Amino acid sequence: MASKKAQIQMMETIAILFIFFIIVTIAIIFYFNIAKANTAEKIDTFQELSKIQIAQLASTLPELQCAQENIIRANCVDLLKLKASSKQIPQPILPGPRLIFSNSNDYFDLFSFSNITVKQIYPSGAQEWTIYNKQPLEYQSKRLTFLPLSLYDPKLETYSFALMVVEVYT
Amino acid sequence: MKKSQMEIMGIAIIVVLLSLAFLFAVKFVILKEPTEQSKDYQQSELAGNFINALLDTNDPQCSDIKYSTLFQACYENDNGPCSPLNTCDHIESRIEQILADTFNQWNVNYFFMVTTNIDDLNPIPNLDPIPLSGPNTLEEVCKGNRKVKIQPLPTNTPGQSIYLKLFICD
Repeated sequence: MASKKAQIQMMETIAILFIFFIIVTIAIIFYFNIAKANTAEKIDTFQELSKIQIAQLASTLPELQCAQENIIRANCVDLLKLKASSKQIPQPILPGPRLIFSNSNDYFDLFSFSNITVKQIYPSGAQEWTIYNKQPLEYQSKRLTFLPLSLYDPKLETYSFALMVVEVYT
Repeated sequence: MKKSQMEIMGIAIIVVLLSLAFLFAVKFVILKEPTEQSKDYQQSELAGNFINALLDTNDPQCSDIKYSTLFQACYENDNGPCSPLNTCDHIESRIEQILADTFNQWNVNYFFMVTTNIDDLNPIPNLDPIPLSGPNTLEEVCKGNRKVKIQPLPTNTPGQSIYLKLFICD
């Protein structure tokens, strides 16, 4: 009789412990899923900020910025500097290496794996220049952003409306 | 009998407490809306850059005059700059083209208008039927969050300015 009672109590203890460990396991799985979701969200935010940072850096490069009488003009790209730095599409009139496009490795620290182009919208929408293009062998996604800016032609002393398109590979 | 009933009650209370904890976690952790600081920044930068670039753009069909001057000429009913074209009609068609090549192509929701009052949402008569987003009102186009850039332009009328407003919407 006494041993039966003890056996019942032991079974009871074992059952409680079993349920307890199941509850703890569920809680751990739940916690790790939340942590995983939070980390993914932080990675996403970081990649978005990185895309904006690259766009801001590209639009303020001294190699491209407009300057008149040593005064730098914000949100403006000099057309002659752009032609000297980047690869024109269609084929450039002047052959030869381009300051930024031909030296992509030197700008990798700034732009990482991305594609930066400037496209003239108005008056003419036919011209496009690729400033930097470094694509990884494999990537999961591309994040796109565009930045309107002025394109200054020093020869004609006129401004055009252009877009800087930044694609960041992640 | 009573002891086992008490133990069952204890387990039931534990389950209820765990359920409440789980519900709180779902409400305040999983269903929490993420902050979109990068999106807010992007939208406000986009609006600002667009208007700045637009106002600096020279129009070859209007004696290479900048759009900032053309808006003023339109307000004052001056058709000289773009002669024989009507200044306001010309501005409207060009800006529609630029907006189509930028925001429409990139699926960005926007609302652009020119008014005589900083708080007003009624377009100035010369540039009616601008708003250039089409016949819809601001509330119809921008249902969610929005960022706005307002650029004042002086006119020859003392104390009177015109305001360019660009809303970038979710």
